[in-house]
Amino acid sequence: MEAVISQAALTGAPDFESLLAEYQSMVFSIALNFLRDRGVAEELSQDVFLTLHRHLGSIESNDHARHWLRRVTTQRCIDRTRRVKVRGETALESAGQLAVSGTAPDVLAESRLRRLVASLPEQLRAVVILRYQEDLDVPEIAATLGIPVRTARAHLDKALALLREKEQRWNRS
Amino acid sequence: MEPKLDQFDEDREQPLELAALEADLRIALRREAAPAGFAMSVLARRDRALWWSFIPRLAPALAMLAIIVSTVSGYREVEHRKSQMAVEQTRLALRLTAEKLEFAKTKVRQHLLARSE
Repeated sequence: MEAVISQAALTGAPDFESLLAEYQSMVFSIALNFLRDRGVAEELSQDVFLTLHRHLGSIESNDHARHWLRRVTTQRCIDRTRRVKVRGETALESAGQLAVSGTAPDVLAESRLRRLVASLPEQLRAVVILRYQEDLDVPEIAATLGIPVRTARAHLDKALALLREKEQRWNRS
Repeated sequence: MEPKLDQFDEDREQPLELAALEADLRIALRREAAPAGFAMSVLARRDRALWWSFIPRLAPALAMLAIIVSTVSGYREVEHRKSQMAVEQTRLALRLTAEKLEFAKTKVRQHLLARSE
């Protein structure tokens, strides 16, 4: 019996539906954590996958696809934030005042921390999300964003310092 | 010089605070599932985009087809008119021939009549 070998198996290139199933959560979460607007995050995420489909011929492997998706999603989020004032984005100073009554403290703390992250400048926000959502190390973050490793390290340190300062201010109040 | 106790405590607490913040960030920023129907929406948009992408590619072929059809139909029209003209000319020739023949017959009858007298 002749074995039927798919084009994907021959070339090693992944197929679109598999990539969509595997990475939709990753792409959506990057967008949501960056933009803090579910509708906008969903729309942006869909656009990213449609762009992937158009460029599928240049994707060589699953790892390549993952790197490509992280890079493009993050860059689109940065571009969108710079172009449009996204609803729900708050300034660093006012993020701490937002609260939802009747919600468990842990959930409130998580929600507050997400808003604090979303209030960071775009580049710092991207570094924090890639570090703590995607668990990338600093060189991987630098490669994803196309910036020097030293710059990525500086961004991360600055972001953590800002977040810690605000957390301390909140805890003292 | 001995470090101030407050400063020493503060410096020792910073790594712990940082570790706690990083742990909180990992929890707060954890991935969540894409909305229900996300994959289906993407695939539907992909299929619509594929369909619409064919139209610009088909346009030159359709234009060429239109030119060919119009050329062929124009050629046929010309040929039809030529054949009609040929038919008309044949009819005219036959009529002229018939008239001449009739004229010739008349002359022959007249000649024969004159001879018999």
